[in-house]
Amino acid sequence: MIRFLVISFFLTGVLGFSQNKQLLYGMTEVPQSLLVNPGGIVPYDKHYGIPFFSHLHLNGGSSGVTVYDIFQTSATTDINARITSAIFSMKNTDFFTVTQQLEIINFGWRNQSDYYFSAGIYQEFDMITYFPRDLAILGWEGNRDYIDYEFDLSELNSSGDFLTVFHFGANKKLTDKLTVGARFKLYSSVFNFRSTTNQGTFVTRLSDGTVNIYDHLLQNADVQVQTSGIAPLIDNDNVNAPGNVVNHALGRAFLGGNLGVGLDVGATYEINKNWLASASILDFGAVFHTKDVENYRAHGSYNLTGINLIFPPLQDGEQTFPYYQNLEDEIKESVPVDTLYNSYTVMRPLKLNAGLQYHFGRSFGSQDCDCYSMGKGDFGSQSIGVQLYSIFRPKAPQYAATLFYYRRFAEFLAGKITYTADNYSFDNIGLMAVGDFGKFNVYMGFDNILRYGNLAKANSLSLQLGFNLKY
Amino acid sequence: MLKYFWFFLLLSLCFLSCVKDTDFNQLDDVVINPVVEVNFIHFTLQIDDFQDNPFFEGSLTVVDTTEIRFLNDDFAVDNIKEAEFFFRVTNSFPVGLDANFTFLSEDNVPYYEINFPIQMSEDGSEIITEFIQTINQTDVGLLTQNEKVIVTINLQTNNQNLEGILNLQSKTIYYLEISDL
Repeated sequence: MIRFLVISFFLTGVLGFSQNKQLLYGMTEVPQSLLVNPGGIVPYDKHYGIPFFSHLHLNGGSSGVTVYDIFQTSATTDINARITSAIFSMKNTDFFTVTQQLEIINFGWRNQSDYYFSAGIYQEFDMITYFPRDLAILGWEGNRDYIDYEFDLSELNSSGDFLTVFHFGANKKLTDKLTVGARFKLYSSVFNFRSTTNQGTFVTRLSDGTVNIYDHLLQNADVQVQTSGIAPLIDNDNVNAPGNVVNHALGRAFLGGNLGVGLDVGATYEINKNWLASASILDFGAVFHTKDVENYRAHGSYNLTGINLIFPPLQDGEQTFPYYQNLEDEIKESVPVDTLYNSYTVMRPLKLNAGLQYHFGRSFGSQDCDCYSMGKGDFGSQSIGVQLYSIFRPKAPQYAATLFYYRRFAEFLAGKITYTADNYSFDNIGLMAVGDFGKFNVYMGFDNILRYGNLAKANSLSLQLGFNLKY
Repeated sequence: MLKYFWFFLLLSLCFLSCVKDTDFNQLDDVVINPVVEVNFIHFTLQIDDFQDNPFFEGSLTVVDTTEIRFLNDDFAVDNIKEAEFFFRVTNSFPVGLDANFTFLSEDNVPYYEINFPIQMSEDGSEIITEFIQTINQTDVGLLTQNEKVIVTINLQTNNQNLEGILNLQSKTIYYLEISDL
């Protein structure tokens, strides 16, 4: 099991991507771009996503280390030296993320008032774990060489969500230049865990000599883990009956668990024939965890000085003090571990997108080109631009900046190439292609293609894929 | 054909991407070697704590016992490769003393023992004795069969009016080798 966890942990560097969808943002040919900007331009009147195949997004990353850094075949260093190097080179702000989205259904239509409505259901898993550098050092090297060093428990910081999102959005071109949109979301949480507000230190100090050699001090510790939906999944009765686990998870996925609400808003402004600006705010909302909640909290301070023998005068057969049991009881009393059942609220990771693009190039066909509708309209067949992205994470927001070049190769085929600098790397090149084969729309995008020669060297990778029908 | 370049390129990425120059079997070679220092036993004794030694006439003794349950649990048995006990004794008794730590298994079988003499004080001032017992890989298996320790301090006198104080402080250094991931 530990082996599985270790490999999985490092593979997040290969399978993972950030939540950033820089390839999809602004790609108006793809209906799912409305999930990135509900105020995007919609050049079609109806769309249906192919159920379960309309949008697959895999996302994860490691900001501080790659699979290759650890598992490379090297004649000069062994894996233990490489792990040591990684532990000491990483910072406590480095993180590992995994995000996955699978769209179940997605459809949209334009009504007579020229509103474009879209709705659907998708499932999402999102997790982030910051690198607990101090605790990694303590576990890897022990405390002997770290006398007087305060190991910081607040570096324990991890959260994860598995939920289903039911959404309904409306999009409207208000004026010749301005298109706006909003999307209401109903979150149905399958499970959640969060441990983000920990504090305290552990330090070993030489004592003043009055009691014992050292003071092993746990100071102002307050470590909490909040969970919802997990306790029933690991309940012995359910674990022994896998069907119960599935039924339980499905029930929670479809509005049977903890619910939340959220809102996406976005807008696109056509400054002139060549320039276009857009922005969106996604997942402004929260999930309210009130059912199947189980929280754990350990808090307190303690100085472990060792076992203090009293040497009581004893008669034959009389027992001495239960020193060890007393020590355990004293620790439990000083640093109690409580199981709590109080509800809690988790804000969704808010995401911000913004883009500015410049259109140019010749038009397709006999009419002026509208790149948004594959062959109709006013814009040229190429564009360049810049996109900015930010997501709010427990410790600090993460940012990404993207430069892109978009080109329509034919009336049915368009492509986009992106260069992105983010917390993971400064050389992320992405490619996306979108094809409209009759009413059949297919799109495919990859990130970090410079690493495809050897995925092990990638800090992050991305895959976006889907099939739709458009009318 | 150029029109299809984009799709061909992306499809190629799908099929040509790979993970190479890596070997996940190296996980078998991962060995974690933390060195953990932790307090062990401490106590302070005065002459009133000693009683006549029933086994050695002309000497006084004190005996006490404590469990150390973690010593024979699976983690300790599997991962402690070496250990080192460090004792610091501050003594002002003007006679020689002996310290004995006998480690016992759950069935009270003594599998490991530490003995060392404690320096006497000539003039009632505090004399410090430091003693280190290193337990190598060969013997550590004996140590980790135990879950309790009997501590005995013998005072080489039967004079119960003697003045002095004995303070013992100790720590253990555990050299771990965790390789079974």
